[in-house]
Order: sequence, then structure tokens, then C-alpha cells
Amino acid sequence: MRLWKRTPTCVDYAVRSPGSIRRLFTCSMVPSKFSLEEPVFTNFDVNEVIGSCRSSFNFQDLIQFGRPPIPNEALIQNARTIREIILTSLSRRTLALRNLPYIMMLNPNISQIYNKYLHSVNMVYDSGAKLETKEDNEMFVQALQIVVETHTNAIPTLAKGFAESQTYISGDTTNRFLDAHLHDRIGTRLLSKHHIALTKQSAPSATPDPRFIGLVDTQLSPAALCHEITWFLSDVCDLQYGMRPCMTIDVGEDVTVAYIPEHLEYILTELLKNSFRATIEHFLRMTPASQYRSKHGAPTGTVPHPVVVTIVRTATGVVIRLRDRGGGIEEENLKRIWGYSESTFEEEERDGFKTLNTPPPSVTGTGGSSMGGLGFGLPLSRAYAEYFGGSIDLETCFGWGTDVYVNIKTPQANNSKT
Amino acid sequence: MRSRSTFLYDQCRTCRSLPLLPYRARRPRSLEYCHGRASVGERFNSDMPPSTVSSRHFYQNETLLEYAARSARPVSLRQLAFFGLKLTNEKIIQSANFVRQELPTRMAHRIHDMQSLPYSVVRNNHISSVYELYYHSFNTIRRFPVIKTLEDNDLFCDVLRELLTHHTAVIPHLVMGVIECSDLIDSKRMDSFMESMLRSRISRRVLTEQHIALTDAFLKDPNFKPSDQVGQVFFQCSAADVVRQCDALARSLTQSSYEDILIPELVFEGDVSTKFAYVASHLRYIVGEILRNTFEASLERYQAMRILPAPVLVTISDAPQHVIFRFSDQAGGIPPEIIPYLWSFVKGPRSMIRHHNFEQVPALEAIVEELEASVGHATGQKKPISSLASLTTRSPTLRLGMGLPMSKIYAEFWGGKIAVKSIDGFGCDVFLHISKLGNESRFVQENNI
Repeated sequence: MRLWKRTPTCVDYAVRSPGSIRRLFTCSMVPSKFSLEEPVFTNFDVNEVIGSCRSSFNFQDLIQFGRPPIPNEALIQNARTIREIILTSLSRRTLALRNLPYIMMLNPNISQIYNKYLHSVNMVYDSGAKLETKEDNEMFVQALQIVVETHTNAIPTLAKGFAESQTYISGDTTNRFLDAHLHDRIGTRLLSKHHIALTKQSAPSATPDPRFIGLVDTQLSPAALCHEITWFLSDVCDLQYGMRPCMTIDVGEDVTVAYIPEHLEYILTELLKNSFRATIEHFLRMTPASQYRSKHGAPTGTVPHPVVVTIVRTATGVVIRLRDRGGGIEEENLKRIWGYSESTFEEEERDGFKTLNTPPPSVTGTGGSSMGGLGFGLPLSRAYAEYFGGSIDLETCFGWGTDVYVNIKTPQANNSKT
Repeated sequence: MRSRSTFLYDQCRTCRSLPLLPYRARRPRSLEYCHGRASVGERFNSDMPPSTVSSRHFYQNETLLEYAARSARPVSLRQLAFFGLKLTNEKIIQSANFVRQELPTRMAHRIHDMQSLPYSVVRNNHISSVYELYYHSFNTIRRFPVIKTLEDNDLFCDVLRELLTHHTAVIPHLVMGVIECSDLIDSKRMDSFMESMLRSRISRRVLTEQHIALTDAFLKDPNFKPSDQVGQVFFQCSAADVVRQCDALARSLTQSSYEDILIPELVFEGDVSTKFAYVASHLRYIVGEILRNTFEASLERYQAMRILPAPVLVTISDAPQHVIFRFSDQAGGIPPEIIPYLWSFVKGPRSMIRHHNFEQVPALEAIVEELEASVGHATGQKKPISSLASLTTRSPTLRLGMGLPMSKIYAEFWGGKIAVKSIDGFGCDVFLHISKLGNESRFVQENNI
């Protein structure tokens, strides 16, 4: 058996320049075949690098250059800035993965993710080494696109890995890890896609839609989103339960905000899906609340009640309240809904309900996020809302229904908590 | 021969008020205590220090520490509501001795807490008057001999009634003291001190009132078997009726104070006919506070606009362990800068406190005066006064800033909760979970000592 030795050169790698990143990571790929020959790099090195780079950004930063087309110099400057931020985020993720128990990293799902991160760091580092001309930016954008695609379906893999490793790590540590992971992931993907979009919109042949600045829709209407989502989800419910839910907007039909449609769409889809499912199942006497009520002789309606959506423009953004009559959430479940891998779907039903949980790509535009049934919906929605300082709160009246308050902060006064 | 009504304290002959004088300092003849020095509110400004600020008090504190070292015995709802108990002499005497031992233990814990507060805080007029009161009540009860007969119990009940009466003004005193001392102590510590004081107060009062009720019921009819009723303290409440009553009260008070005001209507939905057992006065206070807040906010928002405010939607839901009320209004919501301090007795940064002081101290003084005046009339009466009732019926112009924190303590005491969700610029939703107290094997929370 060969002894695991520390190669002398790794000491040389404790250099403060960002150039050391590449060398740090190229050598520590977790190989698919087991090998003990890799040199050891201290987390100290990575921390040094992270510490010296910029790592936070505001919503303002996304729209600071104004409407496209954006001059090349601005694009290149943006590219430089976000490269730093993305490298820092990716490094931080890699560090966090390296801090997981050793045995977990041997799980193929998790090591696959780890490899992806190493690969992404290298790509971003290499392609953006020189950023001075338009062509450099093009190459950088291509690299970003590859990174985005690589990580598109990373979450289910990661989720599977964590589910399989439950014996090696506590629920709390999992939650903390995944919270930080999702937060960083949202940031990197947002910046990457935004920059790609900005570049596309500033290309000489493009005719950009005046509403959009990159990914940001300056006239996003939450009401319109709700209608679209309801329209789509009704089909799914019809397939599943044989009845269609309904949704009404009592206040705020014409409110518009500047926000990222993908994020808001994901949040509303998740919440409306939960509300619709609860309302229909409560009506069909499938929930514990409805069983309690029918035992006590409480009347039920003749049709499932509509979900009432209230949209209010506030000084700092918008608040969307979804009020349903789905019977509420039981006390013991309340504590668990914000954790990961807590889905109220039964194991054997998971596939059957998948249609209810998977919005098709045409609606979300995110290339099909198949996160449903994995118990990630609520925590991920919360991560999206909280990214720019917003929040999602929930209050339930067991036996009656649930109210969800989505507080979104839009430009004027917000910071991402990086 | 001293009459029973002055068992504890002497009345000042001049003003008929009850100066909180130390037990030992009581003299049979010269009763000029308050008018020789100062009026009730100002007596500790004088150069005569209270008796508890003395070295003797320090060394005698050992007794208190002994009591504080004991833990309070948890009380089951069965004991409190005497479900299905057949009352007998022995049971009454047993209950009396239980109260006789529990009260000093619980008071000792709170007095010990107060002794740990900074000196500057407890020297505040209000806090020191509460401290005096607690200390002397503690001494009075602990010195009471073991109760062996029903006559002993009678005497004991008289003492308890007097105590209940004299402690009526404690809440306003505490709140005023807390506000005045907000810069002397960390606000979190102050908040938790207030919470434990109030929780303990509720538990002691409920214990006391329940025992007195038990005695009265037994004396009236020795064969009284309260298995079908829920007792004197717990009443069968109808959810919607309670809300309607509180609404009517709050509405009439508001209308009498403000002219020509448009108050939102209440619209009910849900399990409107739900019935459950609860302490009626607590529920009325909590619901009253919630409705008052809504009406106040409506006033501010709609008065200038002269349009009818949108109705308040009251949803009642019957859950297995709770009854859930949701009050959903469109009165404009709570300004975001206030939200962090919503549940605090100590209201936010200094500037806010100064501002509130100006509004609140005279208001609380009014409550104190009202309560102390009613105390003067009440001695000799059988039924103790409730400070909650006085707070519930106060004028809406008396904005005390403690409605929500108090409601939280009262709701959580019995295992419920209250939550407020505000949509800035639109309105507020208040969620109130009230435990159904019909389950006799439950215990009152351990930390309500």
C-alpha cells in the first residue's frame, strides 16, 4: 500500500494571488477511481483567495447600466466584476463540500457535484483570464453558458446524495449546508444568466424588448403570472383529481414591479401548487383536517373554494398574500416544512404525483426544474425570496386554511445577503 | 378590635387610601403616614426610606431564599377547574393548604428575581412599591398557620380576598416602572422580567380565585357537584358571541370618545357556533385589544378620507386542541419601523420612549388612580376587583402600548399563541390560537411559576 504523502509543492501554492486558484483545484479532482495520491490543500489557501475578492452584489448592480443595448466597455467591466463574484461563490461551495464528512464525498452523487464545481471554477477562471475586448467577453459568455447547463439538474442529484447519506450527517447540518448552497447557487446562476442575456441583448443584430434589462423584467405583473400559473396547474389538477382549482385576485390586479420573472414564477408556482392541492384534497376529504371536521359534523362546500390572492405595492417592493381554504397544516408538520427532504407525498406516490410537481420548461423557462416531490419546494422558494432581502411567512388555521405572505424587495432599498 | 378589612394595612384617616406601609411599622394610633409624608404616588420620594431598604432586610432574606429554592408544584387543570370533584371538608382544607404553600413559593421566585435587578431599577417608585407589596404579601401568607378547620379556611379566604384587591394595580405600576427604567437595563432582560412577573401573577390569581370560588360554592351547597359545569373561573364561551360582545364594547367606547367616526363592520365566517371553555376575562381582554388596534388604525387611515372602511373579516376555525380566530382588516398595516418592537413592553429606541412616555404615563396614572380608588371602595366587599376588567373598559384615548405584549402573555399562558402579519400600506392579519380548556388531564405550563 502506498503511503499517502503530502507533495512538497502544495506549500508553494499558499500564494495570495488569484492565480493560485487554478492550481489549487486542478489537482484535487476527486477521481472516479479511488486514489490516495492527491496532494492536500489547506482550506486556508482557499479562504485567502475568497477573502480578497468581492463577493456581494445588490439588485441595483443588475440594472446599473440601464437598458440594453449596453456599450462594450460596460459589458466588459460587468464581466470582470461578476467573474470575481462567481469565482468566490463557486470556491465557497467547493470549500463547503470539502468540509462534509469524507464518507459522504465518496457517494457518487455528491462527488459528481463536487467534480462539476471544480470543472466550473476552472472554466470561469480560464475563460475570463483576459477580459479586454468584445471577443473575450464572447468567450466568457460561452463558458458561463456551459457552467449554467452543467449545473441545471444538479439539485436532484445533490438531494439524492444527501438522502442516501442521512446516517452520516444530522438534519440540522444538512439544512444549514443546503441553505447556504442554494443561496450561492441562486446568486451564481442569476449573475451568469443575466450577463448572458445582457450580452445577447446588446448584440448589434438584436432588437431587445424594452421591458427587459437582462433577466430583469421592469414591468413584471404578479397578477399575470398568477393567472398563467393557475391556467397551467389547472390542467395538471384536472388530470390528477378530475377537478380544476380556481384563483381570484381581489386586490392588485394591475400592480407591476421590476423583478426577475423566473424567481417570482418559481415561488408562486410552488405556493399555488400547495394551495391548490390542499384545497382540492380538503374538498375531497383526503386531508386530516377534513376528516376531523366531518367527524364533528362541520359542513363542507359544494365546490372547492378559490384561492384568494392579494397583491399590494409597498414602499420597498411588493407583498403577495395567498389565502386558501385547504384545511390548514398540522402542528407537527409546521416545524418541518421549511426543512429539506420533507415532502408530504408518500414514497410510492412520488412518481404519480410528479406531473403535479414538475412545471414544464415552457412555463418556467428554466429548462425543466424537476425538484418536485423532493421536499425542496418551500425552502427553495424561501431562498429565492430572501435573496434580495424579502421573506416568505406562513400562518395556518388548522381546520380552515393557510395564509402565505410573500414579501419581495425590489430595487430602491435592498442588498443581497452574501 | 381591628376589623377584618384592615387585617394587613391601616387606612390613612385623612385620605382613606391604603399606604403600602410595612407590617411592622403599623402603629395603633398615629395614622398620618401618607399625609405626614406625601400622597400615595409620591411617598417614596420623601426622605423616609421604605423598610425593605435596610440591613435587617438583607440578613432576613434567608427565609426568602429557602422558599425560592423550592420549585413550584405544577397545577393540573383538574385542580383548577375541579372537574368531577365531590367537594368535602377535607378537600377544601387540602386545597387551602395547597394554596397556602404554593403562593409564597411562587412569590418568592418573583421577589428573588426583583432582588437581582439593578438597584437603580428597583428604586424606581413604581417598581419599589410593587416590591414592597410582594414582600409583605409573601410574609403574610407564609406566616399563616396551618389550616385545620373550615373556620381557619374562612379567615384564610378573607386574607386572600384582600390580597387580590391590593394587588389590583400591580400591572400599571410595573408597566410604568418598566418604561421609566428603559434606559437603565437591557430591554430583552426587562421584557423577560415582565413576562415572568405577569405569568406568575396570572397563575397565582387563578389559583387564589379558584380556591375562593370552591369555598363559596361549597358553603352555599355542600352537595354541589361541579361535574357538569366548568367552575367559577372557566366559562363556556361561544366564539362568535365573545367577539361580538367585545366588538360592541370597543365600538361604544370609541364612538363615545370620537365624534362622527366611521368604524369598520365585522363580518364572520367559519365555525361561528363553536363553544369552548376558557377564562372569560382573559379572552375578552385579548379580543378587545385586537379590535381596539384595528379601530385605531382605521381611524387614522379612513377618517381623513371620509369613506366607509372595509369590513374586518373574522374567521373562526375549530381545531382539535384550539379555537383559531383570524382578524383580517384593511386598516393600513403596521409601519415597518415599529414591527421589531411590537411585542416588547420596552418600546424601541430612546426617542420613541420619550415620545411614548409623554402619552402613556398620564394614561397609566389614570388607570392606577381608577384602580386605587376602586380599591378604597372595595374593602369589605366579597368579590375582588379585576385589573383586566378595568383595562378592558378603558377609554380608547388611553393608548398604553402594552396591548399586544399583554395579550401574548395571556394567550400563551394557557398554551395558545398570537401572531400578527402586517402588509404595509394595506392591512393586518391577527391570528389568535386559544386552547380549549376542556381537557382535564393537561397541566398548566411548567414555566408559569
